[in-house]
Amino acid sequence: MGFSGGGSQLRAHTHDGTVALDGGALDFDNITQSQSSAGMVFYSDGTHLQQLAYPGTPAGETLTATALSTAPSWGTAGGASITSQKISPTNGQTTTATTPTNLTSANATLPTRTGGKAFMVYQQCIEKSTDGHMQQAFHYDASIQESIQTMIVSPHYITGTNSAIADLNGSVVQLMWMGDSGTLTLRNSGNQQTYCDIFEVS
Amino acid sequence: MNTKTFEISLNTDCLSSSLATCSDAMIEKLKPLGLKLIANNPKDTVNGFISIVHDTQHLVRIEIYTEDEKPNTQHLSTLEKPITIPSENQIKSLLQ
Repeated sequence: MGFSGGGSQLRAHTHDGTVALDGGALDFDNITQSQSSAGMVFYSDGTHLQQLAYPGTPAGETLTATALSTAPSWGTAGGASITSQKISPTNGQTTTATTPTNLTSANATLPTRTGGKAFMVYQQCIEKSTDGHMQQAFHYDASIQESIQTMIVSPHYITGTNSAIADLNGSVVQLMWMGDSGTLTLRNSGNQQTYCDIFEVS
Repeated sequence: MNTKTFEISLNTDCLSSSLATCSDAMIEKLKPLGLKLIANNPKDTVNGFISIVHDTQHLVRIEIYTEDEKPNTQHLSTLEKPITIPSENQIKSLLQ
């Protein structure tokens, strides 16, 4: 609703469309103008309207309310960063070790991401020449971690599963194995698989 | 435990036998050195062990204990340093 009459001073108004002679509601859709640039966001500082410029080079920023702030701002987008690696040791390797020893072609280097974690699952398919146990372990951060045993009745094979959580600190993860007697043969073909999946989350 | 490690590449194949049999054959070849490289039972005494990647070019890793160690939470076997640690040439000449 517009003003009527002429020559008089502009009366105080708030553009409340429900109040007579108040200037009518502002039309925000392609009519009302301001000294703004493309993408600017409007917000109130409690007294006046303010404008927040759109990022000059948008890179996935999100509108955010940082702690103790009284106005919105653009911030780095939230959400997790997830990468993965797979270790696949050489099929058909053997060992007679009764102390932990490295599997061949069985290591990966974790990325360095502050506060991040690696979730690792290690499946090992083993054939053993004698009854007894086989053992599988992770080595990282300069020591053996999470070691487990699985019983095997010769001449059958069995798959053992181990898991671990490590910091994303650039450490090398090495898979290790051993038995209590006889010869272990590692299987990694067909449906007899040995592998380690690593999910890196930060 | 501390070990002395020997890594040897052998041009051989073991297609006609099981991989464990191939490993047993190499252990047998090294017996003149007085090395026990396989445990016959969990409480056996061993001087080391042998790990092999059985490709056409076999990658053989032999680790020999350089100090004694009694059974503990990590292993049931007794680890025993051999009277003499062999040289790489001695091992190679027996395996080839």
